[in-house]
Amino acid sequence: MADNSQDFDLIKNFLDGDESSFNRLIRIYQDKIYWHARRMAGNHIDADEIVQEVLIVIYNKLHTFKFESSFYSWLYRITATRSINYLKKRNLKKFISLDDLINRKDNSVSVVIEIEGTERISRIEQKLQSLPVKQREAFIMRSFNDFSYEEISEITGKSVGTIKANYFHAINKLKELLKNEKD
Amino acid sequence: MKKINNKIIDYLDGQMNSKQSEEFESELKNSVQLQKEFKEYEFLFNSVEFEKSRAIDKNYAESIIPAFRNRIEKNKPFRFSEKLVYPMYALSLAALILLILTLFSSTDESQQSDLLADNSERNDIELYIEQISADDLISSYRESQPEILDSVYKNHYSREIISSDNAVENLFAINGINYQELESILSDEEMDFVYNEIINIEFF
Repeated sequence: MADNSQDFDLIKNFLDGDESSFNRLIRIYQDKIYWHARRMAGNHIDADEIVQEVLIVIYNKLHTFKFESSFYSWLYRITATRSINYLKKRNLKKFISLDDLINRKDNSVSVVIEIEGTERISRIEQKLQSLPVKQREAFIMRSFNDFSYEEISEITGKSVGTIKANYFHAINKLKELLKNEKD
Repeated sequence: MKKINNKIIDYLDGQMNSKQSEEFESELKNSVQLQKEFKEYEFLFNSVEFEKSRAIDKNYAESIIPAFRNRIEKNKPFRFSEKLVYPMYALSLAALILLILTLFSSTDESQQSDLLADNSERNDIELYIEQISADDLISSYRESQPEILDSVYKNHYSREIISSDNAVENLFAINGINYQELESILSDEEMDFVYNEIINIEFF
């Protein structure tokens, strides 16, 4: 991860009109954005859509960045919010049209296979989709991104107690799901 | 059970200090049930570690920014450069001030000329009134409107004469006649006749 001063320089350059600084800034964090979106959404197509939405928001809102907190936390807050909003929209679409759900599932699986070649879709990634969104989010942020409870609390706006509870529930549920699969 | 599970999670998650870790490890050695539970959690944590090592597809990673650039080019919102914001504000403010000043200055001029005209007219009248005497006024009126002036006189004097205590004496005096002398010579009827004649000549 890049240090704050490097991020701040790139942001300042971008705000001064240097578009290439924005590209450089995004290249540093695009994997983080993608994997959060991918684990939240459970497929590549939706993850890609979330990534693009996040980049557009960052591009348009970067002038509001205060240079007080780390850019990574600021960016992650946008990514987390956009991911949840996207999932809400997707669930609503699924509710409205069952055909859309079937088509989407077929397409997403084929694209994921195409992108990942012969690599099978991660078992954990599949199991994550069984968790409620808030538990999934807490688990992804803590387990995959190594955020502390306090950092997750700052990003999501939830209390440390709530974050811990969601994380522990997620672990226990995933453990049970993996155990059942083995049995 | 929940307490034990939480302990396992805290241990695997690195949330225990060294003393707590040692205590947990000794507990783990002595409990088969705890070991069984521990293995299940350990499997999950190992799976997560394996999942972390997955890398993003290289071709896809390279396509993210071009795809984003295509999107914003299609629907690019108008965005001010930070350098341009303050000059634009200053320019707008200057234009606004100029507009206000222009409007106010034109209004002031028209109002001022009206006021000046009013004042000069008023001053002329006041000066004229101060300068002209009552006699001049009467004589100028007599020349221009003699009938009106006569009627004013008649009304004024008739009212004054009639309302006074010695109305009849005054009437005779106005016309140069000594009332006391006439009264001693003339009868009452003759006096009434003269009196009426004087009134008719003087006032009607």
